[in-house]
Amino acid sequence: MAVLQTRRLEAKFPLRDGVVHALRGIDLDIATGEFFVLLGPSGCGKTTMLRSIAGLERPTAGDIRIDGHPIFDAENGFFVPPDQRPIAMVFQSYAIWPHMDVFENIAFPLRRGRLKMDKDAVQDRVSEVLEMLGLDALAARPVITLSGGQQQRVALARALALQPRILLMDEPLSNLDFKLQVRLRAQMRDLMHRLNLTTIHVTHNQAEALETGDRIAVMSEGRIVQIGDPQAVYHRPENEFVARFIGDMNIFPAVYQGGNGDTARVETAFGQLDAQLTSREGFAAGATCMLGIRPEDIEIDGDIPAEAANLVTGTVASSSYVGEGYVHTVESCGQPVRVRRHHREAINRGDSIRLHFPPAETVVVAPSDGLDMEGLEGGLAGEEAARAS
Amino acid sequence: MRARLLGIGWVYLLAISGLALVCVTVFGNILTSFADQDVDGQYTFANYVELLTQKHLYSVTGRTALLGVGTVFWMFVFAFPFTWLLARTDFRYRTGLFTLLTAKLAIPGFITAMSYVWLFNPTSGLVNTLFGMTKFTGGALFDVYQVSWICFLQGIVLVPGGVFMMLPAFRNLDASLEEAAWVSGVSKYYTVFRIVLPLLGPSMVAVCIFYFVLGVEMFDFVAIIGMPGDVLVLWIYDAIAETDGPPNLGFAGAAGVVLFVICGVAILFYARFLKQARKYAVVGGKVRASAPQPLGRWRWAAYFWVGVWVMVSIGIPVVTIVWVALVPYFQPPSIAALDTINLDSFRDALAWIGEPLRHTLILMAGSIVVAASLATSVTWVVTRSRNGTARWADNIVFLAPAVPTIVTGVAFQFIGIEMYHWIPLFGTIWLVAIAMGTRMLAYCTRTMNAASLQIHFELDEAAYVSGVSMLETFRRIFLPLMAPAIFYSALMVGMLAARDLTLPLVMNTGNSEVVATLIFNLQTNGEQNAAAAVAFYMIFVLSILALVARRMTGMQEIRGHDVARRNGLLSRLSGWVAELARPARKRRLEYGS
Repeated sequence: MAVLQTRRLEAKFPLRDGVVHALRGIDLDIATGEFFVLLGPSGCGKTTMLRSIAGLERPTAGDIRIDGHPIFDAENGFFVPPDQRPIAMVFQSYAIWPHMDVFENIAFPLRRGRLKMDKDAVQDRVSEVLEMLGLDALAARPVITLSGGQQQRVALARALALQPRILLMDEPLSNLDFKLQVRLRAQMRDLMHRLNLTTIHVTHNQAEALETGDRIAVMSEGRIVQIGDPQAVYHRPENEFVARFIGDMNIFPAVYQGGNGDTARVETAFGQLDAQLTSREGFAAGATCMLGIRPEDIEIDGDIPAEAANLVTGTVASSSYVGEGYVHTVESCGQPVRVRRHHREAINRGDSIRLHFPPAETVVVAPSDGLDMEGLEGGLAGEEAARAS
Repeated sequence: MRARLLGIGWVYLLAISGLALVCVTVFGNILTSFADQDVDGQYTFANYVELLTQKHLYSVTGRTALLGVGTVFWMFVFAFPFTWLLARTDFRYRTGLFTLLTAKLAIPGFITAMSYVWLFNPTSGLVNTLFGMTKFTGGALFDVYQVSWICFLQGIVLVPGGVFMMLPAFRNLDASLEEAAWVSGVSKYYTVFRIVLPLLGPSMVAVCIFYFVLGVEMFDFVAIIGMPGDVLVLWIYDAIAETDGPPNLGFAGAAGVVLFVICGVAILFYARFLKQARKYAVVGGKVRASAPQPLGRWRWAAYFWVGVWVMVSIGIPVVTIVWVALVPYFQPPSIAALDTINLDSFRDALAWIGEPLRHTLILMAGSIVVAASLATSVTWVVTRSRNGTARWADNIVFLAPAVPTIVTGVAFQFIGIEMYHWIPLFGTIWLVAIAMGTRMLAYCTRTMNAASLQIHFELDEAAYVSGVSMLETFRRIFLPLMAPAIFYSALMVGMLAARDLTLPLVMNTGNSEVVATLIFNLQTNGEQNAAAAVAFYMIFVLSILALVARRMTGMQEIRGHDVARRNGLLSRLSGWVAELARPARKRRLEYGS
């Protein structure tokens, strides 16, 4: 039974010069206890989606249901205001009320909000979540004296105390330093699973998404372009956008020649290659498509099994040391191919080299001409910035 | 129970009442201008005919504009270098200069005017008498009854406001823009002319236009000096204070409409330049202030110029008032006069002051309640409701300063008479308080908008998604976080209401004398010594209020969770004087990161 259902959700915002189409027909079903991630570059509509579920934005079309009860229906103008929805939310800025102490931040919504709990119940509930998140010692502290990580936990405690049907999180880790982010990812996922709490987590950080999500919806320009578990999204991208957005992938133009539905044979600049067909739509023979392979999946001389097909030869154009290994750029048939190796040895520039694209790791996807490839740069740049800080 | 029924509607209701009051001042004025002087309830064009056939209409309108320009000139001549000193140099006494600028707010304009008349009027001015050169002895040394003097005096009293309004623009200028020029090999001197000044240009022009409006509508100086400097404000006042016969509200209304049009056009230009200034604001990110530039030998010039201003705007008025209050009759300093010094005037003043003081306190309290409660609601609607009404409300409030104070007075007098059957407020201090509150509403809203925009919207949203209703969020989140700004605004409204002469004078029907009008009347009746003593009391009390305001904001700058943490006092004071405080971008409260 889906806790949350959205159908044909659309959102448009009027601007001075035109209209922003933030959501273009989103259908979602999220199951009880699921940790669901909305992932995409900035401006893809993921935050609008989250805020629409919260009731902080009003979509222009479609409907939203929680536990089968409508909370929004554009057709008959039905709209449940945010304070009446069985949700809780953690904000990017944490939105901790600066004039209240830690205890009061958690107690205020319980006492004055929808639940209208009495004093003793509030006391019990607050103590419970404070203990759960290791904040008991900080209860009487003014929140402005807390560190970023502590504030983040207070925000989470405030949300959990409400025992919502759905917990919404808008980039809750992005204001923390990188190491703390990494530590909290796992903790957060484990906690939500232990509480069996349905969680919708918005992020532009793919590492965070892959690590925390039971399922990931990749969004671009107001659409969900792929939805699936982290392995599927990483290893079997369904289109060029996802292939480029998640991780690092070599992408080459190709022409579809034939296949059996799961595998495909394509013509590329390197010659004929075999690959997995991950695109949902099939191709007609002669259609343009894209061949993708991750730099770490490419095998080089020495590792290549005998009688392997899918071989490509080239010359090493450059080698960069990246800490855990080397990234080589191999020039082959006029195309640069990035190869990532976890070995310490460098390869000399100008050396001739044989590359193997294992067919099981090579994918064929549809080109995404229409999608916002520039936005994608923004997403990656954001990631870089997060790492740098 | 009823509060729950209407919910957040209460806040809208208050906000709409506030906007309605602002509209009353505009439409009330227009209505007044068509009111028939002889037949009650009849409307006519006669007032406009009378106005347009006045012999001196054009010269008076021209002189009014000249007054605005002259005022801006003198304001700018002091305010621009002072702002530069405060924002960009290592001037040693920056705090001191700041305190003096704040303290100047405690000396009402009309008291400054009064002291200069006592010193420099051609017949009995103390300075002229001292040198034996008066009108009676073949030509006065100084003659204060000149438009140029009014310009100069209005200019110097507006300096603090001008500085507070320009400072944010100076402070928000990103230092990296200059540094980019320096590292590109452009000299520091040339950078100022090609980078700094052009970037500050639009905000400077906006400030000047705003002060043109203030210069044109200001009544304090015209009331006391203005008899030869015939300008529109004086026409309006003369029509209301007709010596023979009832007040000619209709003519005052028509002249008010002309003044309103002049100010309205200026405010529209002001809005344009403000928009231009905002385009230059660096979008997002934190602004780094430029390092203070060493003054070197120029510091002597700085001391001199600051000294000149302190002397003419604070020293001369205060010393004059103390002297006149100490001597038994109006006379220049001399050895003989020193012997006659006594405190009689201060003691006598206490006998005069009782009833006016009571009225002043009512006026202060009333305008605080009206302005603070309405402005808080308007601010919520404008900055936080994300509602179609917001833009409307914002525009109405933005245009409100275009309505001159004296015109506000005329409009409320008219409405007060028309409504007398239903609400008998006409002639009472309460009507003056409502008019004063309305007049302050625009300034209050500016201050509060600036503060509100610095409170992260997610703080409200966090309450909504936690199941807290909008009204409850308004009460428990918005109001507490706004409390410092509201308290500060209330303090300033109280102070400005106490020192305002215009509204109590225009709306005075004999039953609503306040301390300001008491001083004015004593001065007009030739009781200078009593006027000086009362004025001294007034400055004393206002100084305490000003210093409290200064201290309070200083305190908040230190406390971490202040709503207006970054610019503290600056953003609020500037909000007072008007709009540059309307932040070009939404500064957000960020903690933790």
